[in-house]
Amino acid sequence: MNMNDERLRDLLRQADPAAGDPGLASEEVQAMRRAVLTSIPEPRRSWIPIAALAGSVLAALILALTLLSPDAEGPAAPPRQPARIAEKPKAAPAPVPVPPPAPEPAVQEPEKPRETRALRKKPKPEPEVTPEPAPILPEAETTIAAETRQIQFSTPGGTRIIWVLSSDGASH
Amino acid sequence: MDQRPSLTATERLARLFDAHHERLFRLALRLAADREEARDLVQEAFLRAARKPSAVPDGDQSGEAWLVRTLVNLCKDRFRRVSVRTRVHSSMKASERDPRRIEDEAVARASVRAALGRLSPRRRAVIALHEIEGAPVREVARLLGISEVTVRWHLLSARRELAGLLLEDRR
Repeated sequence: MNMNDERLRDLLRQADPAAGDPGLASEEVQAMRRAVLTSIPEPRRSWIPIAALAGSVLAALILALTLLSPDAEGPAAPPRQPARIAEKPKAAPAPVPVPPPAPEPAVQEPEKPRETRALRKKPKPEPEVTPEPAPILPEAETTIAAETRQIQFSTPGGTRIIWVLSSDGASH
Repeated sequence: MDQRPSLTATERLARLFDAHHERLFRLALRLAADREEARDLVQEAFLRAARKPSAVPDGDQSGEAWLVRTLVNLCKDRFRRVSVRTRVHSSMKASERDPRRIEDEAVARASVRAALGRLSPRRRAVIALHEIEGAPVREVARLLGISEVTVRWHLLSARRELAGLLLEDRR
């Protein structure tokens, strides 16, 4: 038996399951509609802008507190330090006596009279303070007194040269 | 239907549901084994749209096509889970439960439905949309998201397959 397209179409339409079906009842439709619409997920908020805002506010607060606090002058203090050191010797009354001749004399700083710091190192003869370029400067020592300043040189031959510079500009 | 961007997802989905649930249910009846399954398929298609509203394209026709494709894909999933033999067997058994009350026409209808049930979901959808609903090939292609050539090829193959199955059943 041959079955052409028209015959098949007729059979399919006769057997259409939806032909005799009344469709969904209104209660079914309402229930389905409610189920579908209530299953829509809540739109999620993006926390990135909020976190960025909070972070910037926090950073601004920290910066403001740092700038306005009394300790904020701390960073500016180091540049003033040399100035204070330079002013102090004027207030110091007594000059530091010249150290006795020794193979390695220690240098005392005026603002800390008790503290002695050795500036000379034999294996590494580099001058720490050189007011003038001197050709014979394997070792140099600087003594900062209240009003005078001593510069000692030791030549490789053993000759010791001591310059005493006073505040009025005279040198000895 | 005008789809303005100011519509919320809920309003958009509500409009889509109101506009297409009947048509989708009719198609589901033609694709599913029974009414309950058809109702589940329609609800699941709309639930997929609700869970991911951004996946549903704007526009009424595009939204309808998206729903039809989702429905057919859901049928495919079920088709994979339930074997064809089981489906046909249960369908035939249902028609044999009370043979006295079943007329010849009803037997023929059951045979056609059983044969339709052995087609793949996409092919069944093509047959349902074109042969039963009378949709033109271009419309079927748009709804299923395939080319017209593919629709025609599915139609040709489905007709051959159905004719063979029905003739086999009548012997």
